[in-house]
Amino acid sequence: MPIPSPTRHVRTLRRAALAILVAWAGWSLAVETVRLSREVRRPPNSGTVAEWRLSTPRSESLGRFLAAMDAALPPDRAVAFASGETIPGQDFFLSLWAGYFLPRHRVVRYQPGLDLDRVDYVVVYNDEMEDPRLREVARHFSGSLYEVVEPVPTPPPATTPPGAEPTRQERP
Amino acid sequence: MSGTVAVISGLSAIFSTLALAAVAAGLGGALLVLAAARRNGRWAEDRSGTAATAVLSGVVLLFLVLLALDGLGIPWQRRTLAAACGTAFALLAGAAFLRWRTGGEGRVGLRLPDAVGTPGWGDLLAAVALAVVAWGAWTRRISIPDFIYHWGIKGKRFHWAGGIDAAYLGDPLLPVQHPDYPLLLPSLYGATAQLRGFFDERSMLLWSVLFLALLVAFARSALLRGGVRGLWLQGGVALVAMVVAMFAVGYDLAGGGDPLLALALVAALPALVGSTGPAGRDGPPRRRPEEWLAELHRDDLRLGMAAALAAGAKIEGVPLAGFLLLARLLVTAPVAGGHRGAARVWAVMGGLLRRMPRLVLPGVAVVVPWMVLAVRHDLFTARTAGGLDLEHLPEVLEASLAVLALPEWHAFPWLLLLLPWLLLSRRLWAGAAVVAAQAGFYLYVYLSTPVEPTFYVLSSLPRLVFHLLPAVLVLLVLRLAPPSPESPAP
Repeated sequence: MPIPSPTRHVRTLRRAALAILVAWAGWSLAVETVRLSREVRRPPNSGTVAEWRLSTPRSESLGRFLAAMDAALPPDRAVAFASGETIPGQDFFLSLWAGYFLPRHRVVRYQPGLDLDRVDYVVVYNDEMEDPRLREVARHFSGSLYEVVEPVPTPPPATTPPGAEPTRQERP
Repeated sequence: MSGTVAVISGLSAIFSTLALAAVAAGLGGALLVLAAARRNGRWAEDRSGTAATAVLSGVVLLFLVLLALDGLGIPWQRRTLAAACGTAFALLAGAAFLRWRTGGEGRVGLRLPDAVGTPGWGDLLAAVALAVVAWGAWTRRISIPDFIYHWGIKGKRFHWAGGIDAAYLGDPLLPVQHPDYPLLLPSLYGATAQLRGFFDERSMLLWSVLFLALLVAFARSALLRGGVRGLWLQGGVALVAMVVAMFAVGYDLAGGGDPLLALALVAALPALVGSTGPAGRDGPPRRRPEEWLAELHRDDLRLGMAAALAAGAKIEGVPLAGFLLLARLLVTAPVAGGHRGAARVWAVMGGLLRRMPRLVLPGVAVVVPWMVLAVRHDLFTARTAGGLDLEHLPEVLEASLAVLALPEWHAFPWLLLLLPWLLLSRRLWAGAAVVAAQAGFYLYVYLSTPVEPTFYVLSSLPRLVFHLLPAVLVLLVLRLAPPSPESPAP
């Protein structure tokens, strides 16, 4: 039996390398396709906000809520977005999603200590908020929309001039 | 939604993207005709490569039209887009006609590209791979998170504002990510939404499928340019298509700018692979000088457009554009036959000047308006990158190894380690050098970042590898394939 020349060996090895690469790529694509098929049939509904995708049920739920709130908002307003999200850092991603679902507005993340003078409205998702400067203008089962109003000025305490009888409120 | 309504809605979503892509193809086609009107009259390569070049060039031209409208204060609406694109097409077609008419004795009639490389099993596998990506994009299951965080939100805002809303991007209160990024993709989304009537995510995500299809077409073109035929051509096309589809689906890449960078690099490969002068550096003369010159100018334009696409897509596309241009100049150092000494220097410089419009002008037209806008509205984020800090190197390498082993990548990034072997090839060194330079740039960024590098590497390197790997796969197949009689040895 004649010994194959080195050139034939090299050609055979190269073809084998191509075949292995193509086969491995095909197998890998098949694995990812099966995973995609599973997720299309049953979109994952767990995980953090950072793992949300457009077809995730929770992101779609947020989208429906914000669409309802958007209907009650005049265009191009500064809107603070607050949520009942408890996992640290995930409220940041939620605010990005809120910005995506409210493109007509400038959406900022609500944080404790936010200067309400810098926003026109506050949207609260899966939570409640009480603040004398917030007036509820729309309600949804997932949350509410509040308009930021001017603070009601507190009347100054009444004082009795020196030598006069104290008023009924001032008597001990 | 009833079945009929769903079908109509779906077809409308597809139509919006394809219609705008067709407009881009028309603009790009007119540009190619203009470029070829006087010399040789033919893009003498495969038909899919020519069509892909037309669409890629057209996307860049479409972006320039959108920039022009925005700069003139004209809102993006269906009728203004139609008028602007119609005007641009008429100007290009008119210029092409005039150029052809004044071509004199040298003018030839336009000819269709050759039907090179019969479609086969590899093309079929590629079509199946792209169909999987299309399915994932259609169901919105493979949308990249960054589509929400900046690509998509910018496109939505631009659609609503009827143009580039720089004030929105520059608002320091807003958590919009990467306000300083180039604006080609969000502008494309805004224009698509104008056509559709609303921001349909499916229409936007289909652009990623189109970009990946163009990438596969250019990969095919590069293999044909390198003289690869038959089993090797089909295997190469299938390999590139299945790997890009695998990662696009596995890592959720639809909707972002990463497919554009991968596309730009592969689109430039036909212009970087195996270029030789009229005297045939590797052997006896094979072509007439005018044929070589025509190919030189065609490839210059294609590479210039690819560089412009990269620079308009993401910030890291700007250095990539630079590397592409430098590689092109080096690999096509003009052969000033018959000249010596100072005359040779003048011939070389004159040649370079004549080539500058095709090579550099598209990128300049894309980058300058963006830079002006970003500076005027203070969009550049404070990237307080310090100097190179080699103490980060162990962490960066460890995180990089973790990325190479990422399950979604199925071990393919390890092929990047074959770059030194590709650099040794006389025919392929230019393409490999661009990949190496871009990889070096990414390494530099990681080593000079002020933030903790491990998370930075883990969160971004998988996508940065996607920019480089398709080109490496094409070069690898060219390296492995036996040389054909038409091409020089590797």
